[in-house]
Amino acid sequence: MNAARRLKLMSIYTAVLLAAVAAVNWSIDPLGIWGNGDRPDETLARELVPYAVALDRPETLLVGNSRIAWSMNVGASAGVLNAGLPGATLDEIGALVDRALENPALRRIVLGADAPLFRPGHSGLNDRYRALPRRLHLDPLVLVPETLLNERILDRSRRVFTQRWSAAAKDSPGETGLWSPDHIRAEIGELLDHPRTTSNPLRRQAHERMARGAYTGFGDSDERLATYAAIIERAEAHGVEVIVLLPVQGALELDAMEEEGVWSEVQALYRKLALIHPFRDASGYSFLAFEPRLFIDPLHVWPVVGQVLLRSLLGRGCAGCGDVAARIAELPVAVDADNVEARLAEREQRRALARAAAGDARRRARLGAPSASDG
Amino acid sequence: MPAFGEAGLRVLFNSFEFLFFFLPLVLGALALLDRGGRHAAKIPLLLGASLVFYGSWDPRYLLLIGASISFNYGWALLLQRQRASPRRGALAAGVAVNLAGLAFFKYTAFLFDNLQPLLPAGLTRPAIALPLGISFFTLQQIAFLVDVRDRQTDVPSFPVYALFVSFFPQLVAGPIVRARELIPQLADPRRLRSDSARLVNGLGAIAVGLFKKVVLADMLGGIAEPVFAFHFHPSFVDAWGAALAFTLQIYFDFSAYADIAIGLGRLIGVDLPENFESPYRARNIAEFWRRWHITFSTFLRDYVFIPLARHPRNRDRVGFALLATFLLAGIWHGAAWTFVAWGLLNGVYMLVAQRWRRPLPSPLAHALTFIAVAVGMVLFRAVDFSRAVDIVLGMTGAHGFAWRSDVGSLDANKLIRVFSLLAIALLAPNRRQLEHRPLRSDRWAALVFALIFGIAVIEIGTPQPFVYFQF
Repeated sequence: MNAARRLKLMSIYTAVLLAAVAAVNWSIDPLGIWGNGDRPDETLARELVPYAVALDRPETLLVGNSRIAWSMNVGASAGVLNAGLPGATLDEIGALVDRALENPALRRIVLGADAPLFRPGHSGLNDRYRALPRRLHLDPLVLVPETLLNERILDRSRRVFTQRWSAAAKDSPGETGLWSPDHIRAEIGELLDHPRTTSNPLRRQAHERMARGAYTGFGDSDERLATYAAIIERAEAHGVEVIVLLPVQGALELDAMEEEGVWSEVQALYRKLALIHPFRDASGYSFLAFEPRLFIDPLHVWPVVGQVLLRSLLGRGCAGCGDVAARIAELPVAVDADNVEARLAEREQRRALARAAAGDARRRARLGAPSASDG
Repeated sequence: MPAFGEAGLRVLFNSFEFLFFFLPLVLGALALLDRGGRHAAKIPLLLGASLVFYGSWDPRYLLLIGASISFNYGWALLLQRQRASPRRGALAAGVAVNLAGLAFFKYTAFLFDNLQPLLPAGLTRPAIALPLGISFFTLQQIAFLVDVRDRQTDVPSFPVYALFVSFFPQLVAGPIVRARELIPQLADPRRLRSDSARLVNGLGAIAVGLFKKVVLADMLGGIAEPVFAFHFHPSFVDAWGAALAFTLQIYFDFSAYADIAIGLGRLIGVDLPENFESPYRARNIAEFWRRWHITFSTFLRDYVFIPLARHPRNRDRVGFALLATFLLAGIWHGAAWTFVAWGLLNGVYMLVAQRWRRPLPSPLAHALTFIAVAVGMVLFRAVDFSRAVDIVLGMTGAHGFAWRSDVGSLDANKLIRVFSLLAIALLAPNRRQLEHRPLRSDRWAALVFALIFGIAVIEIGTPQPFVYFQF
């Protein structure tokens, strides 16, 4: 063995291999974030979203937790960037917003705000290394291993390449950004006819635990509310419109709130939020909460629902999207300091109706009679 | 816990910060000092680098390790001075102070939880963070005090001693190095240099360790995790799959750390002892412990087992010494009853092995030893007794043998990966054996290195800590 020669060859071969990986990733999908609307998994999303926020120049930025990340999947194109961060905290959302405000093209922010975000102890999935600020500032010591020299990004590059190749062959690029009414109608029809909702009991148990955990001893925190108010204030100071959305809740989550006896605490939070800034409310008891076919799992609706809600929030309408989409588009009601008491009363009414219906269904079940939905 | 936004540089062996920033900087500075003939400056350089490495986790820990080093250095000088007329209790007092420090950081919360009914009402559970590597550097310093008392080693200069304790390649998770092995190497700064041959060997060991950690161990962790975390009443397949996956994960993970530590030592000019010797090929449990975490087993043998076994008051000396030694090993690993049980279980294994007189056919002996270890590892990994019992029952088939398709269940793909890595652990040559049969062709050797190292580098992503960091 010639140690000096071997060492030299080791260095050269390693450098060539790593350069090749970086070149492939760079040429296909530099940071693994410009794919074809194909959301990365939870861990990868937390790594990649901050890079997209730092580099993309959208007009509309979507921020929030997994309810935004998974359920408003618009990819990263057409002037809209989904920067939903699974397991986000308000601090993290604030950091994302601050970085996005450096983008002069930014016109509006859609902020998904669910109740658990305001819990005093909510720590989300804040990762072990607190790397979000480093990612937002494109620190090469995290950017390089997480993107250019990364096997998972290489795998995404491969998929993006294959997707583009097959799309080019078929001359039908995949749909990103805001979906067309035809696409929405077809997707909702497909979901209603062939539900893809998980029926896995373990996953359901896990979500039940998660939902219960989010509402056990629920109470909001003045500190979190102040953080939330400050995020909105900073954005508006930059001339950016902030549209707050209280996302859709499913029956399981509503049950968890009831069983934990925190409905009134959530209503109180609702009132406080309205006093801080107007919002659009799609949460609480609604027809959608009891339509499991439109849920990926008990906590998240399918992206098509998010697409309809987004169109509604952006005032794009959804003519031609179908009847179900029209009902979804009507869900997010405008709430502000002036009408909050009336809205709270409406929420109570819807809750009472839903609980009465549930009680009626239980009684019918006990008597062995067919339920209302059987028809 | 650091607040959000504190984006400190945490120097993990399997991080870009370490591999492409910290390490080249240290090696470059070392080479410059060597070239300039400034050998005496190498000790402060390595000491400073070690403290930066350690402080990158939490600078407050530097106070702790500084206090520990200073106390033990002073106590060692005292013991050295008393060699002519040793005073009873001096060594015991030094050891007791070390154990008290360890107990405070590691066992206070555990004791609080278990003694809560006896404590005054209103006391809140103390939140004490476990300082990184405290179990390792405490053990190493206890051994040093004993060795000084027994004239096995002399007390070196303070900087050399501080470097002996804080030497960054082995500070956090061993190997636990004896003073007489490491201090003479560190005390001769002319040795602290590298050449092409040492670089080739060192980088090779680092590449193998890195590959084992980020490609194999982390992948196995992903297979074991769901079953240990939330599979209640796992099936036979899931329970065995998870137990095997963790048994392999901890081997690949921990031995990877040792490989990297040894490789780093070579780059700096220091030879660190081997810590693993293909332990899952052992024919009996005693042999397993001679191959697993060798420096820890040696420490226990020399500083706990032998003194206890020789103690005249012990009637069944060996049996008692074995149980006590392994009980201590369990407690050392963690503040939980599962670790106590794991230690005792291994003590019982050793007692049975010691008293077993009929030789077993070799395949049966291998299989029994491996199964015994894997069952023990369930205790080691499970968060509490109920999870451990649930999984062990699953391994007996008590929760059914049927293949399930639950979230995180072991499908064919995962099982193939687990059994492939089991075959590697059992049959493939380990890193040390590979080094004894080097490739002759420089080109092939370089290519193999580039593939192993390159694949490991692109698998790093967000680095996962080594399993033994929690101890």
